[in-house]
Amino acid sequence: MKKVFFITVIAVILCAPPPLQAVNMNSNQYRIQFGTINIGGQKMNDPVNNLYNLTTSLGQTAAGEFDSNGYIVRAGFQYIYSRIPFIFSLSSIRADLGTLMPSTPSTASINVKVSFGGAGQYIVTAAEKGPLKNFSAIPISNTSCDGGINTCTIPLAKQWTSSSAYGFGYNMSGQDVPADFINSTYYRPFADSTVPETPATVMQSVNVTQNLTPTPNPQYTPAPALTGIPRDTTHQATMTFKANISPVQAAGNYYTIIQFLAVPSF
Amino acid sequence: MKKKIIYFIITICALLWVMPVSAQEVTLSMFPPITELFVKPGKTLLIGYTVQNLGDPTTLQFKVRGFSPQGDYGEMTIDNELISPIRFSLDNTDVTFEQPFFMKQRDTTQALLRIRIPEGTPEGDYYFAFLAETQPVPTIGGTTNSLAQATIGSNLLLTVTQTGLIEVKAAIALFSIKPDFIFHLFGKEYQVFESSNKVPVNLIIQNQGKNLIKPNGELTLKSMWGDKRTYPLLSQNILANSKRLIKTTDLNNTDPHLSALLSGYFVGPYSLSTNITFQDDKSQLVSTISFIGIPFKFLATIFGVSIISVFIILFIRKKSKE
Repeated sequence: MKKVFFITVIAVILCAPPPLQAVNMNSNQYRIQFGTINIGGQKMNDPVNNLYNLTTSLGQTAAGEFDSNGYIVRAGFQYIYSRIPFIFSLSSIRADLGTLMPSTPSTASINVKVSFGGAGQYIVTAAEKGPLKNFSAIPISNTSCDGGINTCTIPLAKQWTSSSAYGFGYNMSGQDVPADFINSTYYRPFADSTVPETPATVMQSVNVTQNLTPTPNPQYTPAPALTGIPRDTTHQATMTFKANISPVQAAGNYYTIIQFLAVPSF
Repeated sequence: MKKKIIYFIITICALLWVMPVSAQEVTLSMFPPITELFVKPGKTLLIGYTVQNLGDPTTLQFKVRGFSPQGDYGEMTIDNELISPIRFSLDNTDVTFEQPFFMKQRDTTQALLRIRIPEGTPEGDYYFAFLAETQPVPTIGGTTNSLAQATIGSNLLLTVTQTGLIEVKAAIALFSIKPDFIFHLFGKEYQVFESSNKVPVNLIIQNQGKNLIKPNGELTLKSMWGDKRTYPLLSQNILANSKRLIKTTDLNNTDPHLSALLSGYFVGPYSLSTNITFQDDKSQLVSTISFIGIPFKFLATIFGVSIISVFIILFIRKKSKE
């Protein structure tokens, strides 16, 4: 009886089904992740040195889904864990420059924060909705910085230290800010959306965030397993506004709207 | 008298106790960050966007705008107006496009975006951004103010196709390394690195077709000693008629303008190749570049040590002769 039981156990162990695996094929020459094996197919050759052939399959799952429904919807990035919302934050909706006095530069700052764990990459742009104006609609022109070799433009920051250089502009410091903001004396004028001018990028990260929980959609294109150290996905920068008016400009209070736009990259 | 003192202390405390005042903050979150659609003309779809106000109470409005890719690094320009054959509407009963509505702190709303692709819509890609925009509070006066208007967006990449097939037409626009030195010998160019330096690699793919494509592939580094290392590429979207720098999955490379930063001790000739395929398309892009790693620092150290040793030996001999 014991013998029969022993033989049965051995037979069950030997005949146990092999572990199931995703269809990943690889050799020294090629690799296919989540390969779809269906009927038909076609061979293709390595056009450079003819080292290998790769057989592709027909009948992708997505194609069938498209035929039956007439659409396919995919939400989130395929190569990162996208179930984290994209968050954009401004520390204040108001940057108070006080009462402007001639040849007396005035500054005020706000913090810009982006949390892009699920977006991977992002871009923040800024533009003014018309120049700074007082209640008589007299505008302050946008800054050219110190002028000469230090003439700044919408996409290029230059030094603005002279108290006789007038106008309105901004400086960026912190993470993911454009490289032309070398230090706190470098400023740019705002793009004017009423002209219209193209808003300037003030923060940008093209670095994809860490895939802390790799969960690629299995019906999707191959998503390589990401490696590396976890990265902080909340980045912060400070925008400092500066205004300086000439002696011929009326002292007082001026006002404009700065439009910030934060979107994940595509 | 006691009552008067207590009353006096309470009055003073009441006057001194002030609630902390903070500037009005805006924090918005949106999910999903990106949506890709493949649709036949004549279809209508519904996409739900979850928008949360994590800051102070604010007034928001929803809108949709087209966008186009800019540059090589995933930048984009959003249009001021929506001009497109694709039709958008909101299924929400209480919210309509470009009509401000109030959101309390920690309030969450779902925008139900209905997308209609009319019959006869030309096949191709259409790119949009779904935006949630705060409304600036008018200034009360008294000081010079820059009022901030915050807008958060989510991208919508829409491919209109009758068959479900997309056009894959791509080329390698740039596959290069930035060597420490370049020298020419017998009409051939050699790119040279100091062995201990990292090798910066740039790979830019140009999409010449009318649909977005996703590269799948890797960089392969081979040495003359037979060593081989592979660096998988991220499957980033390259929009129609645009270029994009493709990064590897090595997240230690934080330079936004580099695809990869290869580290190691490189001695001798190396070949770096890339093999890229796109979605289900069978064609592939292949390119190879080569470079030489020379241990200049090591050789200079050996040379310096040898010179110093010779001098020391000569000095000792001279001394011993004396």
